[in-house]
Amino acid sequence: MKKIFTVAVVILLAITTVFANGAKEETSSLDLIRVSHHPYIHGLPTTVAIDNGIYEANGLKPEVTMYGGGAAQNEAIASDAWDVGTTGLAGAVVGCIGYDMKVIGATVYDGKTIDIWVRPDSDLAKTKGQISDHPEVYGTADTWKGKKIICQGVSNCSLVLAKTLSLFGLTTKDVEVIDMTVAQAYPAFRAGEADAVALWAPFGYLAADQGWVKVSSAEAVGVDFYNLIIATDKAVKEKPELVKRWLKTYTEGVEVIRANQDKAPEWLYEFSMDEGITTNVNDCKKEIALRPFPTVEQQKDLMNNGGLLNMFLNFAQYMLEQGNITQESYDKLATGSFLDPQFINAL
Amino acid sequence: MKQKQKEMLVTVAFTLLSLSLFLLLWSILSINNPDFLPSPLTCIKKFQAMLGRPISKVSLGGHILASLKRVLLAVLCATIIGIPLGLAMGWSKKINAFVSPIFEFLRPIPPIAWIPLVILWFGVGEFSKVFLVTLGAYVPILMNTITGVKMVPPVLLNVGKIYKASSVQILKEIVLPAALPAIFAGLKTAVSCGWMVVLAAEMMASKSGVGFLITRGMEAYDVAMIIVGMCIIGVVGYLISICLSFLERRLCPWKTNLE
Repeated sequence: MKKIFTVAVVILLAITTVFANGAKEETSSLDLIRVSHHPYIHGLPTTVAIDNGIYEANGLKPEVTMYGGGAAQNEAIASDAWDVGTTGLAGAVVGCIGYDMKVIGATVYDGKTIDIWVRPDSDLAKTKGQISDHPEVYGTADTWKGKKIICQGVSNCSLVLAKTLSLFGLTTKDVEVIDMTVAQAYPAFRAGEADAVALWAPFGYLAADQGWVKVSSAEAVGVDFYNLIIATDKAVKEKPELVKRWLKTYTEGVEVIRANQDKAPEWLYEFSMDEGITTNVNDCKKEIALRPFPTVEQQKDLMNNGGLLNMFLNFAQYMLEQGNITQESYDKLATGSFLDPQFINAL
Repeated sequence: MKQKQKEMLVTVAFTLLSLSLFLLLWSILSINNPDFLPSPLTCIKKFQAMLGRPISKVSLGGHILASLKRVLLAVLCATIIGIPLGLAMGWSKKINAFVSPIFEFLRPIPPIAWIPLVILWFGVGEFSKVFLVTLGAYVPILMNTITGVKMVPPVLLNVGKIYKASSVQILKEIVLPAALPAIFAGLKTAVSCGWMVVLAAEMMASKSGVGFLITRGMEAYDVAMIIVGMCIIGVVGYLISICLSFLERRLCPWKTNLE
């Protein structure tokens, strides 16, 4: 019995010691701001701002968390895990409906990197330009009908797919949609699953390397996508001054990137590799070229002149049609109360 | 002595043979489609790269330690809950009747199914992760402790009664030591379950951990990183199992002698 007791005490002490070592707290005169990003290009301005001392210059100490996607980031609002950040359109729509999240600005443009791909021998790749207003879209109603398409549900990809099908008078009921995250969709399609796959960057670059054919895209069907700069309702209400200072910091990081387009791919490469996203400088060059950051003035225009509201409502309409949101939620979004331009207008 | 050395040599030879065959099979399978299954060499290079470059500002050792902390703390919590409760349930029919319905109801629910609720209740911090792993680890400890207590030979209990030992003395001096081998088997299973659950737990907005590395590998289509993460789980789990076996030999030498 003594042996058991001794061993138990030793294990307990060892574990307590290990945990106690990690519990040291630092004190700082800078204001703590809890920033949430995804480990992709719209998180880069924060890293650039940290590396260039912009956070310190604005009196901020960032605590950055990289969420794998919008869903996890939204769920974390419930536990008050972050104050500000960036996310994709789908995540923002869900966050604004479910968590009263506020959109305070726009970041990386995604319209050129959300595409639908098929293998070169697909009958979809044989016909192009059947829709005169959208000449870059491939296929006919007959060739699209009945196709198995891997596409992440309630995402930018699924909106592009729905828009593409609608051009041919079809809906998602006329095809077989396999709901899978984009990260899983690419290897699944490579393994021979399905007839088409909807991907976003950087998986689209891999698709091009495979020789697959881009049969539709956000650009081809005329859908605009911006990623969003966001803040929680709590942060906007309780620490608006901090949110304003953070937005200034983030946009200054954006300006550094915009002013250094030659160095930006290298920064993005280092940022991605540091976050465990294996990439190469060539793909990073494509990212910087195809996914530009809007200027502060462009953001003001998007926030104040209906650009972002239309983008949101376009997506929300699609969600409503798919039964993902209620009419009540749509109406709530339609008021535009989720847009809070006070911070960007103050810059 | 010579016989023992010979046995050891045979064991080592078979271990090396099995590992070599495993690596050979892996290499052959990876030839046709290295993108889907990178070769062992590619994975070793990835491992070296991960050693040299921190991921999300955490070194590879830091990631392993982060997961290890979560698993060990969860197993400790599961042990603190599981062993006393298991002893009580195995010892007292009344307590068993009281706790069993709830336990049997909760037991089949996979820890992963708790994730949405845990996020809502406790957020995405360390507590949530440890809580989830504890949910996965307590079941085998509790089950094995109950079984261990129920399987104590009646003759041992009778000896205690003949010597007029109190219930507490019988529990402490006879039942607990006799149930130890079963409890240790439960602990080993709990560690394995803990490693399984920590992967899912670290998918919740983690900044570190082996599960985080695997998730990041999946997000970036970096199959080599996924395999390195899996190998780390295998190796660390194996090392913990060796440590537990060593501890078991020290605490219940009679079991080793019987074997």
